[in-house]
Amino acid sequence: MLLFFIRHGQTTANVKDQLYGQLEYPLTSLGRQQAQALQPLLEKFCFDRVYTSDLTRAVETAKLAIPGCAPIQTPLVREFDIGSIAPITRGDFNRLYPQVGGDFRPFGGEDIPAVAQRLRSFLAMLENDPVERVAVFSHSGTLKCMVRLVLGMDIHAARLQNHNCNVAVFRHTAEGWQLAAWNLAGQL
Amino acid sequence: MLLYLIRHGQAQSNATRHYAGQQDSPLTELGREQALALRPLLAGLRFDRVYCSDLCRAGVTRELALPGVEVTETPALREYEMGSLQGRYAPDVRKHYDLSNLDYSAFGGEDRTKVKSRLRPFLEEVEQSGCECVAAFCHGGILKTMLTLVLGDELPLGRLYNGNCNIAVYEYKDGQWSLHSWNAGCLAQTLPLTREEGL
Repeated sequence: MLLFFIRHGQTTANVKDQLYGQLEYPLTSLGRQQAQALQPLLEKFCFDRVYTSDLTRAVETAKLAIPGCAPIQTPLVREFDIGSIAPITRGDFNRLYPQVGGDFRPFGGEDIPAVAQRLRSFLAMLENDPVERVAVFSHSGTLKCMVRLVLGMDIHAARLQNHNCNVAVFRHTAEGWQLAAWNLAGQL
Repeated sequence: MLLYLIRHGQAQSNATRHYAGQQDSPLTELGREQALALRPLLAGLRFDRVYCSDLCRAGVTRELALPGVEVTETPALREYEMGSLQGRYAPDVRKHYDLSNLDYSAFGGEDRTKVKSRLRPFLEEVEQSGCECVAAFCHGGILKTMLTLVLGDELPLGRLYNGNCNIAVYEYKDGQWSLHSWNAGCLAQTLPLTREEGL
């Protein structure tokens, strides 16, 4: 099975370089363009299933990127809940909370194991569904958590670019999940 | 600056599941098809410089994927020398040896330290070139080694799909490399994923 794990398009909060967790912010017009620009790539793959995080930015990206699909909405692939500090600019976050890492529990949010657990539930659901090609529209933190699950290690954010409408591809084999592609639609 | 590392198309050794290493092996029909499928992807890019491993499976891939350009051939981009493994049937070897960490020294071949030491001067040349966009046609082992250089030595290479005509794009900015894209090549063309060989 190939799992296309796709980050939503640019939101109004992305423009301000904010961390905003599960707060709802709409796509900008650039974000909608980015989603539409995925159409020619994604229509070649004829997905058996299309899932999306139930946050609006992901649902909208899904409907623009794969017109006519009725994506299955699931909270399992929502962004990290970062709790009461949302929204916060990245600069303020780095300055005020340098020790947080991925652990937002002090703010009533989630930590990495919690997000990993719901991702595992999502993957278990897919593994029990014998189809070939699945797309899921989700978020940057969730996607990085997926990478962590598959590779078993943290990758420094500065070394792995994770843009809006990044299309990452994971491949499920008898030996487990592999990273098959990153930023499939980018710059080519 | 963007560096496009491009793995050659399927070679006969890939199809028959034999280690080729620095022995040459011609492209199969599928390999030629994969290389040709790269042409429209690459045609829109303006490469300031094009490098190529001096092994012919990389050279032929380049001719089909990016014809009519000036090319610098270099042995620095060659696949791992795999010593006595070269020509051997991979599934048999894999029953006894785990080679996912790219260490062929037990067979008289290269290990990752050796290959990194021949890659570094190549990367420095690219870094100092002042180019904006560089292509390098090479091999699976080189693509994987570059990935560990950027993402870390502990990267579990067995958890990565590294297909023929994989295009890995790296960005060099403010003295640092980052991964921009992986396998943005054949997969984008929905050609069948080829089995990984030897690595």
